[in-house]
Amino acid sequence: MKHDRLETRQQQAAQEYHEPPSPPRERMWARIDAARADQRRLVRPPVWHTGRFWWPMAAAAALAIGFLSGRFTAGPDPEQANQVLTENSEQGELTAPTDLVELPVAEAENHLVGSDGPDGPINDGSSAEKPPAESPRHQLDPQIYRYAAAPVFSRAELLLTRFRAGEESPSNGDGFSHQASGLLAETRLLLDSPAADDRQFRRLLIDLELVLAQIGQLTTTRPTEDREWIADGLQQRSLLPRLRAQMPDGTTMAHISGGTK
Amino acid sequence: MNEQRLIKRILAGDAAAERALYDDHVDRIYRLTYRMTGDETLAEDFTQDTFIRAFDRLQWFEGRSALSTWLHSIAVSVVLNGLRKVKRFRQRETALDETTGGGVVGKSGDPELKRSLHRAIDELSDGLRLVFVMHDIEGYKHQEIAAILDVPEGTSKSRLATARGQLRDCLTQPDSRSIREERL
Repeated sequence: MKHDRLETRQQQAAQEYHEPPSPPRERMWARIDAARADQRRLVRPPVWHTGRFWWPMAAAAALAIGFLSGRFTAGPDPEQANQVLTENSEQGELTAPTDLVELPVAEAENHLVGSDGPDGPINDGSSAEKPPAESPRHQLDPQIYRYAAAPVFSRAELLLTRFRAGEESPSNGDGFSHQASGLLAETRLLLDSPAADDRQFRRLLIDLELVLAQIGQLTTTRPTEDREWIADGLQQRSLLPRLRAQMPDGTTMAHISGGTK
Repeated sequence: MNEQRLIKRILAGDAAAERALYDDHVDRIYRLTYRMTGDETLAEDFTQDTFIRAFDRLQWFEGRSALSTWLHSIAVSVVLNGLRKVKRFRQRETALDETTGGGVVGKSGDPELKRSLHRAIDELSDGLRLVFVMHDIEGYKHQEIAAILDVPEGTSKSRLATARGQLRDCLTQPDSRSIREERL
């Protein structure tokens, strides 16, 4: 369709559109290599783990199992729980004590206040307790926790991409800080999970924790230099490529969040 | 090096082969990502992401297309998805052009034409802009574009014609902004 070509002057002007500089080959290769090194440590998942249907199910199940096992291995005074159980059983009914320690899992789920059932979050009104130091860590494959981490990494990737593109500004900085603080809490939960037993994965979580903490402290009054310093840190740590390398194939931020921002 | 042999060496863990693949294709892919984003950081990001994904999926490459075509398909996907995440990027770039481009005579010798045309290219949809950039600016052939985008060659030509038409329409319309500036 040569008859509809632009005029010669217009074609020449078009050649200058976003004219690229020489590619920084070594810098890009160093980051690719770093991300590949992280990737090589992941065990390739079985076929049924892949696909847009299965990984959210695995993530939800892992979180639910993690919360349940944490709740039921957490230790209040066992004697108190046993006493309540004994009293209730003498009365001919089994009701959930305030602190769930000895009850079988299925019965406890039925009595939890605000519970959505085995697949949903648990809210029994009691404060979350850290499991005692001597309680065993559950034996789930850490790979499951990595798939549970994928939504966190995807939201972090979006936040950091927008931050580095300069979308964070004094007018919406508090919104960014708030998002970063939320992601920081989730990152710290991952750091406490068995997934962080892997050294490379742990290093990624630590780097992410640091950057999110820095962004979380940004307010509208902090100088521009702070933002630039954080952006430089992102670059030097190759954090974005490393985050993307952790996400399952076919996972995009648009898919996870249900839309782009 | 023969493509099949290169791929075998990469899959066997040969680091030099990986670097060879990268060196063979990085320039062209970087140019494409930079043309589409106009931002050095994003272009580097997308280029890196392309190669990371390519190495990860190389074992499933069946050789039905050229390796270059396959790589570019990944790059296009990365760029288009990435641009959707950074929606406001193009508006910032247009603003920068307006404030910094005044009085500079580029190679085309007509700064106003350059400004208007670049603004018009920015206004194209991502899909049309991609075909225009690939064909009219970077010199890809329709056959290659069609293979990369996995569309018929006719579709590539049609999109290009649509893009050119929209650009011509933008350029022939009076630019109200520049007329206002001249009056001032």
